[in-house]
Amino acid sequence: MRLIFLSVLLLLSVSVRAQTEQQTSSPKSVEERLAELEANQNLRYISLSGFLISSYDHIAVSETYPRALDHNDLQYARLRFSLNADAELNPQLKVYTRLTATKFMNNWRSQGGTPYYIKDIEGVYSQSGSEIHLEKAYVDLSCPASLWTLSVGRLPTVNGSPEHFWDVLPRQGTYPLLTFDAPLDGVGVTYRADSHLPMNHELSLRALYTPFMDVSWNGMYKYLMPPKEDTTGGTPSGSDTDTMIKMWALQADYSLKDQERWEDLTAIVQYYQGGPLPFSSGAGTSDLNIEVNGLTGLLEVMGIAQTGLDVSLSHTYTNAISDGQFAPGLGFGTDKNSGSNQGSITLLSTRYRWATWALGLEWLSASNVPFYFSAAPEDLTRFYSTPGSGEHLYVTKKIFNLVTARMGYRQQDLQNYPITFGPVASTDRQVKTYYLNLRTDF
Amino acid sequence: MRFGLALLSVVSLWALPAQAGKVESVQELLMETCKKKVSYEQALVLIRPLYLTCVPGTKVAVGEKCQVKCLKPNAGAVIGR
Repeated sequence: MRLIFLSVLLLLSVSVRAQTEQQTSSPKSVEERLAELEANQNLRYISLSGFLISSYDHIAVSETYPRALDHNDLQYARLRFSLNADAELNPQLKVYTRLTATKFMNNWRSQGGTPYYIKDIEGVYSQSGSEIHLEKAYVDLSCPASLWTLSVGRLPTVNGSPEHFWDVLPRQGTYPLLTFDAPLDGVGVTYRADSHLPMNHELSLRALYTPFMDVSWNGMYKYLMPPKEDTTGGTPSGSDTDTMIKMWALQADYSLKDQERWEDLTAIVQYYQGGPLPFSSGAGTSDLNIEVNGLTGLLEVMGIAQTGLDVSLSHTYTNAISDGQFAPGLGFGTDKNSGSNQGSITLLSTRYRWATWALGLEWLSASNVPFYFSAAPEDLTRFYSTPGSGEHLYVTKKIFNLVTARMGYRQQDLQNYPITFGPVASTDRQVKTYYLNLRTDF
Repeated sequence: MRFGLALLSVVSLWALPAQAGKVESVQELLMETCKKKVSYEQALVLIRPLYLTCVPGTKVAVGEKCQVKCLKPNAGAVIGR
């Protein structure tokens, strides 16, 4: 008891002494305080931000062939949460990351298999519940006074132009929306040619290599054997395939700002090529692989004639070449052993901004059999992949700068089903979606 | 004390790089966009809405009939920028 009493007394005396010393020490000079402030500021190099989107969709679908469908009251409520952590370590070294979860509100049941084909790429946006996914994680590395930048990691190859029109945001992605809408890992090199151009002109030339990995998990031989064309009951079968499947893109990205006739003009031309990508049937029947390539052009003019009128026109031409068969009679977009699926998509996006409002209208038109890989669509019915035509009308209202409410209507008239295994089937499917989005940036 | 502070201010200003600081940038922006002259203290108050809590690419209302662009950079959306 006495020991405890003495210990408490000792602690109290130490505490009182420390307080006294603090009070009697001379106040810090302005220089010291300034230096302390600067030192603390230097330690805060990570910038956190993010956004939360709550949305409601009302979907009505009708189809008479090849399947009869008539559902006019499909309602969904969803949440999306994204957290950005960016670090500008110095002007030559910058790291950008984003963690994202997308989910249905209180998802009670899910039927009919998984919502994605490639979990690593589509999983981020597949309403997979409260799981946090890595959406973006890359480093921009440039040498001092260099015009070259090396970008490595999970790159911002989603949400491209003109997607930023909807919520009155700046450009959100590197690739145009119609090129590819998926988060790709890889390496990119950017050359900024601005210094060779007159003032207000900006030109970036980019080359990106974003290969796909095909991995063999084969017990003791994990990573030591190449994958095969297919699996039979879980056992690899068929010929060997490559572990690394090439995918690359070239891009020219030009912009001209602050002109009398417009506020900002952007023009992008991009070509990509990838494959051969093998497909497993699980039944040992597949030797199918596909090679894809596409050429996209985008022209975007903001603030036409110094008004709030913005226009974006993009067109993409794609070719998906099928080689082999998934199962007898099932090539990719064909029933033959080889085939080529050519197609194109055109998207015209217009918007008028005034005060805290924006009114937008989009027209989409696809011809023949386009191949458009969209892993990150905002909507549930893959509007921008529609093999047919579509219209999108929306009204956006900004509240307190950081809150954005958007109400819209999308209509899709399909001419055929999206390309998959076997011949492309014609359809008269019509999908109508009314939606409401509330986005809060923080 | 006052003399010391004044001397420190002069020395600090002399030591600063030629480019304008955030407060000066806000003052210049308001003058350019809205022909509005604001004091150092008023500009200081606008640092948070214009550099931190706005969405890049959007406009921020500063008083009546004056909207200026958000000064927060649109970082991490396009590689190599």
